[in-house]
Amino acid sequence: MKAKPRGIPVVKKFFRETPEGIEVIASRCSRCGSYFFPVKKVCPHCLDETMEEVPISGKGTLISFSVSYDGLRGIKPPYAFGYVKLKEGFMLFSLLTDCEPFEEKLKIGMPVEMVIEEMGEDFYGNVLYTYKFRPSEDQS
Amino acid sequence: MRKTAVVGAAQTPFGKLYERDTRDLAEEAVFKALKDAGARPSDIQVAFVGSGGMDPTTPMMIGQIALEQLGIKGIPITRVENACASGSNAFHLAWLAVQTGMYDVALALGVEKMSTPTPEQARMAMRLGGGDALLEGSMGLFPPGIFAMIAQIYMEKYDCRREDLAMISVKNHKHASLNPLAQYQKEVTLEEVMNSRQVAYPLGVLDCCPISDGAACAIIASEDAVKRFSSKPVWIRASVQVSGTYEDLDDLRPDTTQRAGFQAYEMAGVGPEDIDLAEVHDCFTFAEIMHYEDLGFCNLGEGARYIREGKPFLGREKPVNTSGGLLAKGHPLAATGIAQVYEIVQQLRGQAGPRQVEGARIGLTHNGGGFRHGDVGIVTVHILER
Repeated sequence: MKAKPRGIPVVKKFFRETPEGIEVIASRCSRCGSYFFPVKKVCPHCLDETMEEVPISGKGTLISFSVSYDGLRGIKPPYAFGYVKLKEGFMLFSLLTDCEPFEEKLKIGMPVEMVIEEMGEDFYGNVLYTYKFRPSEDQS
Repeated sequence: MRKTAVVGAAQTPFGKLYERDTRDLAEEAVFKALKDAGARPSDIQVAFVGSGGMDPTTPMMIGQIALEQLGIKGIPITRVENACASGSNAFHLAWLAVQTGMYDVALALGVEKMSTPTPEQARMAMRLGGGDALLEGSMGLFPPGIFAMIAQIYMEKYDCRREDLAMISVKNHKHASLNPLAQYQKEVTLEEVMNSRQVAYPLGVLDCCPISDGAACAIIASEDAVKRFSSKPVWIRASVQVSGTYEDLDDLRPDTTQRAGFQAYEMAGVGPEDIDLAEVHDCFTFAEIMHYEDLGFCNLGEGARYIREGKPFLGREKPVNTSGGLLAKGHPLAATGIAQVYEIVQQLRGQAGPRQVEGARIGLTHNGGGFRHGDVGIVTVHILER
């Protein structure tokens, strides 16, 4: 999943620039296959610098969700968020998008897919982008 | 294991105490704990000071500055920061210091100022600092949201309804109405909780602990040193601290609290059935339901029924959060863990007044701190006996 969002990343190391656009990356241990997000250098299982940077599939299921009625900096309430289990097997916290009305659209266990979108502004007024997940038709 | 006891304990009033600062809150708690023990500042040999540092004016080496107010100086003093478990962690380290045999008398203080400069700033700090700021806090997760997500799965899987969550708040406000040091000494109704302003679906504002200021202090002594003090000792039968394991769990239900509870029961040689009363970390209503199960007060999936049957109310089977808990007594982060100890000490000494649990012999405290990747960062459990 690649995108060409406006602004700067909410956290730089979540993303990688490619000629086709921005993508979200994780570390995978080339020895034991474990995934880590965000990227890191050393695999705690193999105790070696065996990591390779890999793009995240962006496909997963919604473990659980909630809706915040309190704002955060540039994020206007109400907004939805949840834990997502990715196809790769690891879990990730994320904002949820394209899912209103929340309590109707969002279901525990539903398939979701990753997008890169704007997320408010930082203290200096820079537009931020981040990854989010939205409901997906894809059951695979 | 060396036999150790709490020989002094105290708590300031909790609340949004705009006119008070870290120093005078600490001064009051330490002064009252020394008086309670019949101790002199020079009796204290080592001290640990919990501080979440929520107030931007909280200085580095706050331990030295806070304790100097009462003339406790020259000795080793260490600040402990472990999120909402900072206070109980300071208490655990004070206990550990006496356990080593190196010291006979140790002091644990927890102090937190959250209402200044503004509660909004405190809430923002909690979002970014209450857990994994980089990965979760900066992306919109905040403490009520974490427990809301766990509650959602739980309520889908087990017999637990919205009103069961609300009943926790009703109970703890009812208990707090009997506690002159509590932030909210007014009862609330089930309807008020269920209709309270939404914070994180399904949790409303009355399902959430407040922003609070306050301090609490405890003095611990070895068996040999207990006789130096005039108070009735309350024995520390278990003191346990564990950390989260942050596994990828589909049910967001890690075993961190269970591990802490199990280790504490083993250390004390007692079981959940022996606990007469408990102070548990009810940061949000749902959390208390989950902790009934984690601490073995009931089976997995039966937490909601436990509150529905009224068992944790004062005067019933096993009163939980007789102080009002975090929800109604208030939650000045680093003060909370030691305030829990204070409540149990009052109860075991028979000094809890209108909220006294008759015949209480063994009490438990459970304090959690921080959150990341679906797991709690720090859990401490203490078991005290008269």
